[in-house]
Amino acid sequence: MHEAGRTLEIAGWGHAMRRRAEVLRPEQQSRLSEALEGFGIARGLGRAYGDAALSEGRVWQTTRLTRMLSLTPEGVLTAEAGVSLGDIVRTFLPRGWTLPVTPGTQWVTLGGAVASDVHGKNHHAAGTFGQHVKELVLLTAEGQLRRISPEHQSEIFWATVGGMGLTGVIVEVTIQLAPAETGYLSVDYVRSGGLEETLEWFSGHDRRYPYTVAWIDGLKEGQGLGRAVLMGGRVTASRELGAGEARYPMPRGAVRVPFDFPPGSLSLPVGRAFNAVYYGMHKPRENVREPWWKFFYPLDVADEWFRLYGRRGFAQYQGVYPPEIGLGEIRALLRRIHAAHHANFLGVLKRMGPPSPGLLSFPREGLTLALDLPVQGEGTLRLFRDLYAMTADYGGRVYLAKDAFLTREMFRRMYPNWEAFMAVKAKVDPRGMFRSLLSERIGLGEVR
Amino acid sequence: MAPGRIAILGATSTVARALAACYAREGQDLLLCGRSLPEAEKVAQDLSLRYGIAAEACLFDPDLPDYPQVLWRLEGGPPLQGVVWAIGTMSAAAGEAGPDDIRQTTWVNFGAAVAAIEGLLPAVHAKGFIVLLSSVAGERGRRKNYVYGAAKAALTTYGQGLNHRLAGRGPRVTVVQLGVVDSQMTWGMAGGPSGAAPEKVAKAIIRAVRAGRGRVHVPAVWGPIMLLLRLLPEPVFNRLQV
Repeated sequence: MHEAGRTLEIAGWGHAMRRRAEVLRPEQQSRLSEALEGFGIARGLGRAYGDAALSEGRVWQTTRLTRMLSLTPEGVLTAEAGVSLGDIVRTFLPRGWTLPVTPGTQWVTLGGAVASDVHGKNHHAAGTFGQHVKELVLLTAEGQLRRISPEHQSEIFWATVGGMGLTGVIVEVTIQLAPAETGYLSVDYVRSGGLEETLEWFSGHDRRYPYTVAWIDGLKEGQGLGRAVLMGGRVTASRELGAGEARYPMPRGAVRVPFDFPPGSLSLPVGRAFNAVYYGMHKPRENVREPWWKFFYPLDVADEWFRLYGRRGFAQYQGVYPPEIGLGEIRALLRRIHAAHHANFLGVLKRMGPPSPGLLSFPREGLTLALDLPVQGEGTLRLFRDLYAMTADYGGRVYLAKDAFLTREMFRRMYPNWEAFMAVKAKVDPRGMFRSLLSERIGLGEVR
Repeated sequence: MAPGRIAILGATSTVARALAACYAREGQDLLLCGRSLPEAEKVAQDLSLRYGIAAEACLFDPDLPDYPQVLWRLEGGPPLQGVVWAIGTMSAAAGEAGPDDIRQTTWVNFGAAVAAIEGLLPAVHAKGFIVLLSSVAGERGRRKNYVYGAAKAALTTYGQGLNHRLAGRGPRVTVVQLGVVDSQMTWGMAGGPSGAAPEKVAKAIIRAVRAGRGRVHVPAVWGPIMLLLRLLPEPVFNRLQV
């Protein structure tokens, strides 16, 4: 029997890129195998910003492959790839286990987290998500289920971790969870008046905390350029909790953004006001206790917040630069954004740790800067092209899970391992079954 | 409520999985029967890991139908608290169905259910329950799926008869007339509505079972819709593109 799909218009999370595709949503692994025909790409909860999970052909959506299969006493979890990170925290935090690494949203699937080799606020201390994965079950082009791990078929494993779904469909993930003493974080807030102070904090103070991030005001110009709210967090110890306080708190439901806002809602003045209020709101304070969802997933309080940007959507720039890149270069990037008159809300700056072995993994040692920018036509394209060129000149790279504008040439400059990746892909997917709009754009869809 | 496990036949289907999760969340032990043992086992692992219940997987092939397989699992144990029939299949469009399609559709949707439920009946606690997942497709034949609809109508009638037979003397029977659910079966239907969320459907079914309803539309809005469709005179109905 052949699996029936549904033709749908799907979009990247920024909603600037949309495409009609035949979407299949199997509920059993055997049905997924039957659905593997033609060409296409796996998709989870659709949080990739650009076109990483869009395809001209088929889209294998894993959101109903959500069974958790086992948890060892040592905290090694095996689950189907469609399970969301939020589901894992809700299920296992009350038993004292949590994710070793989490991105800024909990609505990412396990498969997506591996394929993008996501990182979090603890990258400098814990590395990427993929570095905690012990084994994957990968459905490859010939319909074979392969068990791959850092020990077994490691070449395919490290092409799949960070491989943007281009080696096959990730069906099961085995990951080492981390012990969690409580579901709270104790956070220190520091305010910096400008970029110099911000970078100063990241030159050593950040190492005192397992979790660090800076919310940077991307719209402030002049003296205050690069001013930020710096946050350093650690898991709260159980002895710090009051008597009768729940050790593992749980959130209530999210607020929904009910409709696409009209274009211009998030204009420059609104952006400036927002950033100023956010900055003003976060007075320097120490040891502030926050529940896990507030610290890790502040944007998840509003479902579908992309709607705030209206029909045209938004794009995100995220780059990472070598350790020697600092004040001058970050300032130049921020100034280029100012010159383009794009409103932006809450940029993120962080110092990352050593890279993951994933051939196409994004993180590397050095600063990373991320900013959401509304899509405003040609000017946006020029802005991104310029930012990407600057990033490449600095010896840095941009994050494929966020990208919508990278060209093939630029990709090859930023990801020198692309050839090694293509060699593995030629072995596991010789006919090029796994293709996305992203892979075709950056020249990873070509079969030689 | 009677003690004992709940057996779900067709446990890997969308609604069955949601239903099983609802019962598991209440701490209810389950016997999960499916055509594919590996898939049924995955559902069992998931529910026991998430909710700490005892969930056992069991092979069940409606083509045979091998309810003795299920009975063997129950030997020596307490009777079942309930049985849920959650198996259904919709194959070729009505006009294109060959003899094999017709045999398959009528047997799996109706004959197999009767054989299995009659066979399992002695194993169900007298104060327990039986749930048959039927369909609104059985309430008025439509050009798109009337073979399937006819088999579901037969299943509904069987459930009513069983309910009559057991009234006051055996497990309660609830026939659920499902409307469109966002399931694996409806996903591939071109242009179809996206349907109700399986979790909501599961909760509504459990409420109906607890209330002792003999027949229920889930989601409830399908009650009045089907009433209207049944009342439409033929000349009008035949012009409808439903």
